[in-house]
Amino acid sequence: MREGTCVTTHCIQSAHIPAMSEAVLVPVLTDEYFRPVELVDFYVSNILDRRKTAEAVKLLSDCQPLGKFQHLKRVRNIGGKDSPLQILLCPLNKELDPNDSTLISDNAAKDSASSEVLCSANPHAQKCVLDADGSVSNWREKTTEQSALCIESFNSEQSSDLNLISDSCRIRHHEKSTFSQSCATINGNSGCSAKEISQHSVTNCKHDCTVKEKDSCQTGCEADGDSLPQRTRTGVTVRSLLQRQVQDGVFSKPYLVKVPRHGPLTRKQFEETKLYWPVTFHEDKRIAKLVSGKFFTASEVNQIKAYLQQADVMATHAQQKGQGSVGVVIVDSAKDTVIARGHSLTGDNPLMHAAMVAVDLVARSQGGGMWDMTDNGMYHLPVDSTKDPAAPDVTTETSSKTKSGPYLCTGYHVYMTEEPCPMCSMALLHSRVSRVFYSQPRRDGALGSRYKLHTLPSLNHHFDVFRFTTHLHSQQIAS
Amino acid sequence: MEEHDAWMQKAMGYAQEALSNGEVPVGCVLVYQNQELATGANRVNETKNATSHAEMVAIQKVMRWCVEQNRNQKEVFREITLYVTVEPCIMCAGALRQMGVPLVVYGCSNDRFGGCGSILNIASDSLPSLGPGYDVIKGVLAEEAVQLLKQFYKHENPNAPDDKRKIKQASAE
Repeated sequence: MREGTCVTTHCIQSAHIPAMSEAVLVPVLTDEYFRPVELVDFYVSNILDRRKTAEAVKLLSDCQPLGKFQHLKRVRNIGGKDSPLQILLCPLNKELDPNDSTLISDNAAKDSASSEVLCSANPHAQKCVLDADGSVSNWREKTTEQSALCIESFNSEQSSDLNLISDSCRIRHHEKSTFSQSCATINGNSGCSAKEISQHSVTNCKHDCTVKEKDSCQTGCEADGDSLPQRTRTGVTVRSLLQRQVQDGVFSKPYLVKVPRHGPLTRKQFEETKLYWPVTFHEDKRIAKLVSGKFFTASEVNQIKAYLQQADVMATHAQQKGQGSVGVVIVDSAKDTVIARGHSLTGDNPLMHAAMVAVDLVARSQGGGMWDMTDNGMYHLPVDSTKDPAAPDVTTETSSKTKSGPYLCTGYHVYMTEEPCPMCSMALLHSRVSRVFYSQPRRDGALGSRYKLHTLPSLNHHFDVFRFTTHLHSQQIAS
Repeated sequence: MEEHDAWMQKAMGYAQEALSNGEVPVGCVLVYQNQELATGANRVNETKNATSHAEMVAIQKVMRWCVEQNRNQKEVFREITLYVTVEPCIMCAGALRQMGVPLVVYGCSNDRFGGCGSILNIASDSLPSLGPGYDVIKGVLAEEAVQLLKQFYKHENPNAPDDKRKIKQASAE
């Protein structure tokens, strides 16, 4: 096809881009928008005296604000109308002094009777834990050797406390067998730190789970041994507050449940997260639109496809010339005008990837350019036509400041048959493009595959990236 | 170390030159078999191409030299050391890796765009399609490099409407 030939959108089958009729545009976002629910251990009590709920919430909020768990609602209703409320106390904290005599051991002697009620007679204390993760109800039968181990490892003489701890241990042990798909489960079970967990990739999860399963019960228990909280900023410890509330019969003894570590960022995450604990959700309208699949209108999608097909034609040209078969089109979206159309020239110069070529073609349309380009099959808008005729003719050196003329690729959209490499992605970022569309992922690609350069917060320019794909869930799989 | 300083001093001269041309003051020297093979300075404003960084300019000169001298490009780059006043950005770091440059010596870190450890580590991350990684020595004449950048940013870049290519000093070790 000759330069400047208009390409129709009618179903062109191609090696470089997926069949147009089946493909969709998937936004390439940071992993946090796709991460599964991650669970962490959190101390809760049942509110035995419901009339005191508001007061208890206030007291707790003062001495133990939720901090990075702001997304969690402080109190939840476990079941029906008459079932107790659960109130969040504080996260399981490894930094606590293991020798700190906790609420549990302080009160054990006095409260052994009441805690037994809690542990054994009060079904809610355990039921709610089970509800929290949605696992099945036969945990009681799971009194395994492992939980016996846990009891041994917990250095305490208070039988009621042992009940509590071993219960939570059993429950956790049970979860392990039902939640092997969840990263969070590893976290909760092994009591490892947030950092350790965040390093677990989703793909490693299953593996880790099975490996850790053997000893996680015990380590989990040791973490429990640390137990409850230290002094807070108001000077009142959660522990002392709890002691009072437990003694007054307002709170049950604390026990551990699993709660979501992160607040939901998308509605899908919200639906999943709230299964574990009630959470607040402030929908980001832009992200919601991006992930909805309705970010573009039907005619916009057709336009995008048309430009991608132009890029595809360029890729085919390149292939025929023995160059790297990647094509690219850069469009001034405001005017719907093609500024540059080119392809890889890696046969001539190993650095002249399609994006590098296209960026230089845009520079040429502005009277610049840096590469030696001998291939005449490239197109860029002629120099004079890039000047906006409506803009006043500014000839001083500061003309670019007035934004009357184009500056680099500011505001331009880039259509590529293949994901750009780190060099090209950064070239597009330096050039200040506003959107990149590509179809084929690339090994070590920097706009989705290996890095997501466009989402790095430390960089001074950001742009949207969309992948044109037939694989709807490719992003989740890739990340 | 003295050798590094001497080459870097040369690179600093090209950074000065860039500054006097109203470009971001970054300069570099490509050293091949102990000889200066090519030099580069930023030419972003001149070429209206945001990718005309000192490193890219110098790499292109070597490519031309290889054609003129009928030399094998791959073999030449395999014996090149880059001296550059500021940490290569992610783009240049990628280009250097694809060209097979084995050693990069730089002055100050680039905490905006740095591709040799500051933002990403293109120099040593596992990126099999880009070829093997390369060694990096940093902090050579870092203070001088920072001073030049400071001078530049005292006077705004007349060609950049935004804070384009603002490079701040990071730890100079």
